[in-house]
Amino acid sequence: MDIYVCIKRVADTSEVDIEIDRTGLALTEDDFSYDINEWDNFAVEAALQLKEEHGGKVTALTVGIEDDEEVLRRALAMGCDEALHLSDPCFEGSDAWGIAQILSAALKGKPLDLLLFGTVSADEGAGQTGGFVAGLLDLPMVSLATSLKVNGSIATVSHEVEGGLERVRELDLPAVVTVQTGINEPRYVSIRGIRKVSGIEIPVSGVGDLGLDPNQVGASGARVKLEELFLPPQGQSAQMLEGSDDEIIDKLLDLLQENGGL
Amino acid sequence: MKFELDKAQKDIQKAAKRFAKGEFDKELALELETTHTYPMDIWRKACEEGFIGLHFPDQYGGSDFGQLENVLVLEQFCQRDSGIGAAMLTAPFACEIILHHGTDEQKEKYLNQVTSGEAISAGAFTEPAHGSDITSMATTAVKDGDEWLINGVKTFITNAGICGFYVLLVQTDAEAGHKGQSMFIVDADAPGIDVASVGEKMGLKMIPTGEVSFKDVRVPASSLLGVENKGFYQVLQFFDESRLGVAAQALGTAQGAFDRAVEYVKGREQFGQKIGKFQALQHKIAEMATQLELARLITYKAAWLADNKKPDAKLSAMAKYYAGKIASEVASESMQLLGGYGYITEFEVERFYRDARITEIYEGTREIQKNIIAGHVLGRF
Amino acid sequence: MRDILVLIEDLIDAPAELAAAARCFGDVQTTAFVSGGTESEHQMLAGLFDCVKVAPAASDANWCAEFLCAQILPLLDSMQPHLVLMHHTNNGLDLAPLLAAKSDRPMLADCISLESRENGVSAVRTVFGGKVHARISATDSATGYFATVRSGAFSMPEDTATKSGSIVALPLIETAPRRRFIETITPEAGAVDITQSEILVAVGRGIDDEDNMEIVEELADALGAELACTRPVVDKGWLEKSRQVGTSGLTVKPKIYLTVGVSGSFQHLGGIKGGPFMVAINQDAAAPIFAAADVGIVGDLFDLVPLLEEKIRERKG
Repeated sequence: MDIYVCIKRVADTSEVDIEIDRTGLALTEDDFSYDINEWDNFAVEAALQLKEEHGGKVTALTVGIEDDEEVLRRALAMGCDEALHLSDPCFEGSDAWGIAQILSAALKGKPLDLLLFGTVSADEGAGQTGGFVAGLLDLPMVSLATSLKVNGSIATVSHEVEGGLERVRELDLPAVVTVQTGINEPRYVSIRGIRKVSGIEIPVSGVGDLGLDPNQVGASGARVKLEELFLPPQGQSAQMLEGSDDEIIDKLLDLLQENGGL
Repeated sequence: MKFELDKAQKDIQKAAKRFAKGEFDKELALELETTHTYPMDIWRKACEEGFIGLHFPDQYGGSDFGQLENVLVLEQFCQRDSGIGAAMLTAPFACEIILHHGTDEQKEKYLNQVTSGEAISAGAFTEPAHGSDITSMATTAVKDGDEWLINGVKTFITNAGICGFYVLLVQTDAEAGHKGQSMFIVDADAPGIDVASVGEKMGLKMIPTGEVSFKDVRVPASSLLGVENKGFYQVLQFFDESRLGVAAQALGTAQGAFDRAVEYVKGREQFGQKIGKFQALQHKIAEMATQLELARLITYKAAWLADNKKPDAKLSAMAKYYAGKIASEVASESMQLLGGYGYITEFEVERFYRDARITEIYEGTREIQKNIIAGHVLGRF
Repeated sequence: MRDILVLIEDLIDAPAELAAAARCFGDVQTTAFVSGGTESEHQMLAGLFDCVKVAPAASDANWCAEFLCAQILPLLDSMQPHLVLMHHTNNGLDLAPLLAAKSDRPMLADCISLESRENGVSAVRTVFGGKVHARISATDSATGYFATVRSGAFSMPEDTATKSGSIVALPLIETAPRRRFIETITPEAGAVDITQSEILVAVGRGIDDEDNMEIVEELADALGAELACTRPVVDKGWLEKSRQVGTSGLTVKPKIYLTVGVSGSFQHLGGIKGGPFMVAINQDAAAPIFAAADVGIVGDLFDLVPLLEEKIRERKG
């Protein structure tokens, strides 16, 4: 089986104070640590489990700058067989559509059985890239997968739909599946894995290698443009209770009582 | 001069952080402390992932990394949990002596046990009558045909009772002082070994510390580790290396206490404002952050020198001395920043404080470190 | 006049919200697309939109992105609408990017507000887990635009169902889907049905550890409430799935909704309907939950929750 998994390096903003920089288009990154997007980590694990069961090869791809290579090394250390870094100065500023163009160009003509993505990314959170690539490559797709099995040329996938329900689907391979967190328990990156991949040169493909028109990608090719970032007004609608703990709780109890909560 | 970790080192740092986050659980740590239980399951998992003995060669289950990589892992582990981190530090204790001086058979047998999660090791150097001074040993090994007969008592032995084997320093030539000392590897189940507790400790409560007595313990000649009567020098060389591990432990423990304090002062309100807004407190934070950065620089540098075939005994003593000193200070101040909560077990910082204190005491007290540093600075005069 | 095509996925709150979103574009001709549904449902849509296009239901009567793409693409070809609109729900995630790619339209995903520009569309959406808002735009597209909107972000005045749109049946476009429906799995019903509860205490990732669940259990007990939770709490196995509120969990309609350590992701908020009186207790003053709550308290959960419980018991005697 030839499995490809598309991954992304993201900033962990869950525990830092966010500031927007002077351009208004990016965050001040002093305190950020970066790692693989959580959903993508589940996708890598899903790919590796399928390979372990059925044999074959797993290739990890990412689009990004030089530093983003770390998520590919990570995927290799976990057990992926190959990695491809799609990197070129003119990719910078790509929107999701541009990223999908780059990935599709890299994947076109590859002997592909299954293409995996994390459903969304922790930074943009739009959940578009997998669907765009499925559309561009004309492959069937299931999103938000919570289980994934392959039998011959058919994948059986259960995925989240509305109202806490799950549906089970069959997909003819080749297909795209975007993976939800919790689908498996991703393995750790082991020290031996890191040793194995240290010093490996990960191949890089740029705009020319992929046969892309530079105007199709990057900031100039972006169909959706970022105009500004801003912090949402704090406590916009909430009445914030202040004072000593005792005072706060007394006020809260009055409010709960007024609203029929006691 | 390049102050940047290489790619593999950064990968290792992240891998260690994620492993610690996934496996080191606060509630579990509290329970292990209370019940004085070594975190065996976590240790085995750490072995599976290659964290234990990562600086050993591949053929012995390591990954051919160096002391700097080991330092990075231990720092992350102790930052997440000072107790479990320290347990991971001590799991392969004294194995560097086997690595540098052991026979191929010894390395094959013991190093593989330690990296595969079969055995924890222990180093038995200290004696009741001698603490950090190991120039003369009361424990003896006497040749008896093809065997050695060992008698004596070792104390403050980390991992006593749970380890698979002891790396032991004994007197083999009673007349020759430190020039008459040799080392042996003794399996922990050898007849004649007895283990007693040294009593309740302030910190490191998951790790047993015992008094180990050897009564007519017979070991084969193949148990001799390194060169007969060169044991003292082998141990000194080992201490130059093992201090790096303790410095990393101190650094991680200090950072862990500090992180918890910072999180607290950003959230806690007193007198109508977040306490982090008070300048006196900000200055305290600034001092601690600076101390941490200095300890990190000196520890990384000492480890880097060791990995680049320029081991520097003075610098590794400085790293252990300084990191240990600031670990106690930073953990204590962090506790202070939490006020009453700092004194409550649930908030963890008191445990970091208790665990920090040992780094100024074991593997050479801070006074011994100063002796080493002064000896290098002053030379003979 | 600009045409807007609205893709209807669920027939309860969604159509009115989408009609409201379409209104951001001023005077427009709105067409609703629906696959299957009953005649009365189509009548209801006709009250909200100028035209209702009804495609046959998929043979297995389930949402299938491939089937829907096949039905909608010819409609896009013939109508050439300025904008296609749908909700950013799980079904939306399944269909919208695929359809946007196949129809070659720039897509603005998960918008919380929309604005018409002379030469395009701009929108606000949330990034970095809701901590930051981003204003984005797409302009000068020859193929039109595609936008998905967040559930609950657009609301309609009461008097809106005043249109009397035409209802047009669409022919079935045959497909040989490469993706087939097998079955629907309903999660095992828990002992409680939180969708029927009037008071809910919802707990989120901020509770930090399973052992801390006790303080919220005690609080719920004192309030006479049921416990609800966010997805991470279920992922960690601290509470059962039947207590999860949100787009991939249950939709609840309580009168009082008190959150403890809930950051307020849109996925969670998407499961709260009926405008309850919402209280948020969270350590992080920047948590998006405070934008949704009626009353907010920034502080230490482990101080405040037990104190609240104690005082509730006092007041209740």
